[in-house]
Amino acid sequence: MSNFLTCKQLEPLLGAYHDGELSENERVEADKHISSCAACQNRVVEIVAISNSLKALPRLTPKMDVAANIEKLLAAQPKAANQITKPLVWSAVGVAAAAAVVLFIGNLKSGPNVVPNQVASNSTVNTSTTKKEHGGAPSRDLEVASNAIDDPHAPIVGSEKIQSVSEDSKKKGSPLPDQHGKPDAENGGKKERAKFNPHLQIASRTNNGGTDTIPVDATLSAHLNQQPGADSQLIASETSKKGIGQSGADSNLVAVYDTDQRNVTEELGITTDEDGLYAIKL
Amino acid sequence: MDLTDEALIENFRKTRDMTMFQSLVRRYQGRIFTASFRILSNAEEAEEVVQDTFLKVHHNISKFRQQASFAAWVFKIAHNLCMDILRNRQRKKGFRLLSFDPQSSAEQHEDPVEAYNIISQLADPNADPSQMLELREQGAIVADSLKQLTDNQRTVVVLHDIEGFSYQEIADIVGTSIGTVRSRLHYGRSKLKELLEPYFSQQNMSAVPR
Repeated sequence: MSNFLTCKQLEPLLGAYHDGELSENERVEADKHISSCAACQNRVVEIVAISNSLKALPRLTPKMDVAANIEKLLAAQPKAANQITKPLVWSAVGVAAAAAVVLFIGNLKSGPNVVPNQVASNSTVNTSTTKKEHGGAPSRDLEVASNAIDDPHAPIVGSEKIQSVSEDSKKKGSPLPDQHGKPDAENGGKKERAKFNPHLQIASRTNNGGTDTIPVDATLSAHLNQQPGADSQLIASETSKKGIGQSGADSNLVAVYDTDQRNVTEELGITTDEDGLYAIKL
Repeated sequence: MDLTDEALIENFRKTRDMTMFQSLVRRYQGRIFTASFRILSNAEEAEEVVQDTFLKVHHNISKFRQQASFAAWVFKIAHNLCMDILRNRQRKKGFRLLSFDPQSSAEQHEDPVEAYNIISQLADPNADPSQMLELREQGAIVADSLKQLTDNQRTVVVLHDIEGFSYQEIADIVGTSIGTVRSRLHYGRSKLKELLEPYFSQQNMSAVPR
């Protein structure tokens, strides 16, 4: 037995010893040990046997003689590539369409509840309508639902009105569609989102500067049929567990327009959160 | 006199004479098929690997640099294709586990490996029938044992003990270090020894060609 290498130390090197892949120093040490160790000599014999049995496995040939058919294969290659490319393009279109549908459904589900009158929208309401309404005289046609921030007759600090509407609706006991409360972190992005909607910007400023906020679980609701005397045809709701002050620019607001007070809404806007504006006009 | 691989490549690059390229393919298609088949244990996939390998070789022939041998280069391409197939199998396997279907596992059989272990392809066709039978039996046992190694161990064992590549060449082909090659080979052979021991002790090593 060698004084330098034990059997345990040499064992992992025996394969490389057999293959002639040891360094010169390692080989000399291995030789010394193996020459005086019957156990390691047996191990080398086993490695030889295994290696030889693998070498003895039959050589196989492919069914297709690729050498004889290489030109055909090469000629078929671009054609095959075309066949792959087209479905890929169409599948990409399909994926995009599916994503759009999912996004749309997702907005319907996760966004504000659809008001029974088929009128609801997310935070970024149809800007063309809101601009029109704010550009002219106060109009009866436009109402922005959720937190009444777009009501031209309402004071800038709209929370009082909101609160009163909320109380009113509670008295009537009408079940209100719930809004999804947004986490605080998301409220940090309200200024960015507000750029899509000047009304939300007002709300944001108002709420930031104002002192009144709706208490926890504040609920806002206004229904056209329930408030015949009101100027606005408000069909909207919001439930915020953080209060309006925090959710003024929330993307889950609802806006409804009923321009002619005919109980028929005209505009429906739906938006995503941060990713961009998706508006649908019905 | 046969031209070297490198000379064939050089001539093909200059002349675009397909007979040069065909000579290269003819030299390696059997080796690539054998190695791929031993690694994948699937004849159809091994056929695909052979075809795709030479299509890639043709497409990338201008990129071949003669610092490495052509054999190592072409085997590297084939190895990458084999690894893609093995990875896809793993993905499908994971998917199958997720959507467990008791019937699908019953349908999951080994590929018709035996169809390729035909006796006419054994090394010595002139051997007497009893010896051929013995060799065939031994080959089937060794081939089955090889399948039980991990993909990495099997690849290194095939490249070394069947294809005769050096540790350095194998390290280049599979993209790892010589130490890793040595280790995988050691553990692969240890596993094979464990699996083949009953057979070897029964045959008293006599069936193993020397």
